[in-house]
Amino acid sequence: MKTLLRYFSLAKYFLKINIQCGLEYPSYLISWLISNPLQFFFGIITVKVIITNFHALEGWSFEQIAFLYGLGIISHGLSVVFFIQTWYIDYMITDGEFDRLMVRPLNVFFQFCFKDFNFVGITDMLPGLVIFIYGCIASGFSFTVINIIKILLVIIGATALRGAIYTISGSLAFWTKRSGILTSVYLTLFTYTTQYPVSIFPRLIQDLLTFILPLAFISYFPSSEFFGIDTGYRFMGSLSVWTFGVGIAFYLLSMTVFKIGLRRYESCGS
Amino acid sequence: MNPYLYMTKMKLLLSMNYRFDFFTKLAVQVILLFVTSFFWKAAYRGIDTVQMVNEQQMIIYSVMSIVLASVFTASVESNIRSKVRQGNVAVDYIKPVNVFWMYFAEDIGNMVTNIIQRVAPVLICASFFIVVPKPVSLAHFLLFLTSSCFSFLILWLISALVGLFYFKVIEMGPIGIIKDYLIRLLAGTFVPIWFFPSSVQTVLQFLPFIYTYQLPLSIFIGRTSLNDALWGMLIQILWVLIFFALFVRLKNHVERNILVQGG
Repeated sequence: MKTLLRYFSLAKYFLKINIQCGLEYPSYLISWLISNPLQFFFGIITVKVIITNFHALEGWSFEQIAFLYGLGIISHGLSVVFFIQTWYIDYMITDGEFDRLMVRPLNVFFQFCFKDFNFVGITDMLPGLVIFIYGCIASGFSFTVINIIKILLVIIGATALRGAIYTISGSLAFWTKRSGILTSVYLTLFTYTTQYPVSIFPRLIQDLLTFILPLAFISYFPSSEFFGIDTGYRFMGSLSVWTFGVGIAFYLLSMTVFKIGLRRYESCGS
Repeated sequence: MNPYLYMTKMKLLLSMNYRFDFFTKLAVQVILLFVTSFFWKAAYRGIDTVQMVNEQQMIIYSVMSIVLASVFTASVESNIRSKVRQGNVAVDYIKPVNVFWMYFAEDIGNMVTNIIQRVAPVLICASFFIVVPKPVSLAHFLLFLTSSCFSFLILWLISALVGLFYFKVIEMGPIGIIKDYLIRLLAGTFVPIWFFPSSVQTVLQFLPFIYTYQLPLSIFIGRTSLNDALWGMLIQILWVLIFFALFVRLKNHVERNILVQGG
């Protein structure tokens, strides 16, 4: 209990320092505030243009895709806020940065998680929130208590899932010394599997995205549950709860991978 | 050896060294290739032709768009950005060459590498699994190649113009990214402009964006007739001249007072 409290107060302290660091360059923040939302608004304009010309995408209307698109971006933004340090594990390894974390009398994974709280990521999340709320209103989503709890579960699960995949791919650097470039591959994958209905892909890829690398749970499955769209997959219980469960399970897995990797760590920097 | 040729060669050799980089970039490209083709297949389900373009043409369009995007690299802007920040730009000005011709030569080197390393794998992958990106005719293909060269010049000059701003303001954050997003949306790299409302199309006719990607691509798939293609290329040349004039003016202005910071 005492250790838990200590970790909690330390997390608060890390958070405070990180926010102060982020505010150090306000002009930087402002330009991210312009460029990040632009990207997502352009993306949704593209979808709008397509649907006006082609009427629907695999039975999904524009409003429904806006819902799915926004939901996907919210968890993307949150994962950028909380997990950005996983993109640079390889630098931390080759620079010998972990030496510093390991000599401290604290859990390394904990320090690693709270090392970087990148609140610039909120500029990613805001447009997602706007598009999501638009999607909610336009598609007639009912704001009942149950639905709101479900949405929260989905956002937590999806953020954890994204973070877990980043952590696992980043931890590969413990063996390979380089992994940062993989991030661009994952980002591309995440973008296209969470911003459009997964049903545009052939069945084989849908299976992969459901059972192997379960990215379909980030926004596609939960959205299809809310709109009652048949995905062709049957799950026991609510898909929102599934997203939560899958996210947490993957996160625990990523912790294990990180810990195993850390044992292989040799400081190769100077 | 001619100094510019030497810089092109150095850039070529350097980028061959990063093999891991090469494979991940290729992976991203291949993912994009499949995603866009599935996307258009889903959109065209039950529909034959939209805006005079059928599914086959549209998929070829997006395959070639990915090819063009992987060929066109203009690192001049990020080059200037990092060099101004670190003060290395002073070193470049000591060299007995024209600095901007040097940056241009480097980008040509990058482009040649890209043609060898990235275009071939993408084209092979597309031909085997998606569609053979065949031009409508030889004439269309030749016009496509010429038009693409002008496209590159326009993109490079835009990039260089943004780069020149860094001399003035030293650091303005991700302004280059905003430019890239604008080009991605307005040049029809993913969704061609002919799907946009007609008022938007009219406005874009007077902006340089559609002459970077959409023009060569729509020549390739035969949506633009040979006659229109020639007119389009005339407008491309016009934009190259406008941007070049702007570039020269701005460059002369900027070079008169360069601030070197850092060590």
